[in-house]
Amino acid sequence: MRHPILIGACLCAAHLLAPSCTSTASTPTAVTMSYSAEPLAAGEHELEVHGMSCPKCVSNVDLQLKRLPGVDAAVVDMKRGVVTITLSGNARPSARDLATAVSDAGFTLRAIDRGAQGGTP
Amino acid sequence: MIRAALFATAALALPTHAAAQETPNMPAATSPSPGVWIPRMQARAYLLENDQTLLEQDLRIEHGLARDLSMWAELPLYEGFLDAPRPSDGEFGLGALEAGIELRVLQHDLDAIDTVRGAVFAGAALPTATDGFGRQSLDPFVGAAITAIFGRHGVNAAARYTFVTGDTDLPLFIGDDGEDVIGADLGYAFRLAPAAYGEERVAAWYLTLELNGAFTAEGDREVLFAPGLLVEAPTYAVELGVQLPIAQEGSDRPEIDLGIFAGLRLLY
Repeated sequence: MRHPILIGACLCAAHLLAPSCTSTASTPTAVTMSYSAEPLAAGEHELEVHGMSCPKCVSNVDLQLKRLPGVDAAVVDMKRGVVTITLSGNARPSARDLATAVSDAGFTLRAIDRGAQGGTP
Repeated sequence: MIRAALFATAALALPTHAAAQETPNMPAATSPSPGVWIPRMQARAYLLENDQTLLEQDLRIEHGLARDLSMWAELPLYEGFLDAPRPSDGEFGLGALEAGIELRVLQHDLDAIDTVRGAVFAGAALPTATDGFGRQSLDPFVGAAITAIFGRHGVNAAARYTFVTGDTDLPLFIGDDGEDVIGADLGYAFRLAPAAYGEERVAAWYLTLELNGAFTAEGDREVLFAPGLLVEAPTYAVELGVQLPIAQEGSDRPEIDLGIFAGLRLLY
């Protein structure tokens, strides 16, 4: 009887955790949705990314961003937490696409072109 | 010994992934991106009491199912140089295949580097162990892990409860006598170099310290202290370390005198 009781207790705990998990996990999604779906202009853009704590993180962000059509290059400056990307072609990603890619890599996009006029968000 | 050397060489030859300041002998709240497959391998040698040796090679694969959800499967391979009737003459065997899912329930990226992650996981150890290398039972488990990184300091904590449903006449690991096992791990990683990241991509060197504990309700316990070195670059990582017993008590399993682990991880 001990195991079914413990398993039941764990399932209940998981069930109780689920709403808060969803709530916590939805935060990056909410942030992602706050970005524009309009394609960004060709040229260089600076992404302020939080949570890149190791060299491997750089590879993760690289991988996800370079999968996007229109992203020619991604250069990560870990010291500043800035990823500089170069966009070209007609099928360029939107700010929302970039936020999703960064989130999929396991990190948080805080701003795009913060130093430039009209930077988001 | 030649087979043992080949065993270790094979372990070093296959690619694995590296994760942020992830200490090598415990779960961490890190997971692959959606759609990404990550093969992983670790090799270790346990020097046991009475000049016995157990070599272990863990094959692990992780897969990202969704942004916060991943799955994994892990199969240990063993080679035993133990006292009879346990595998005594360099016999190879399988351990219990573990399969599980992990859900990230917490992610706070505080600034460029600092982050706090939390995850819960659940799964089961399947009865794939061959004779002499563990119990042949289906044992569910649940657990949680937290990873926090603040500048050069990384902390990992994990707990796991395994519902043991079977036993074996020749216990080799804690829990083999049929008692449920509580695992508790604490890890610390200090980035030795670079002191601060720059614009260039360089390898990071970490000193890792771990306490790996396992306990049963009957009083069995095993607590190991594991200092090590982790070198992590964008495309590879190397880890080396030892496991030193702090406390061991219970059942008839052979006690650990020293554990040695080494690994090479390649990133794609």
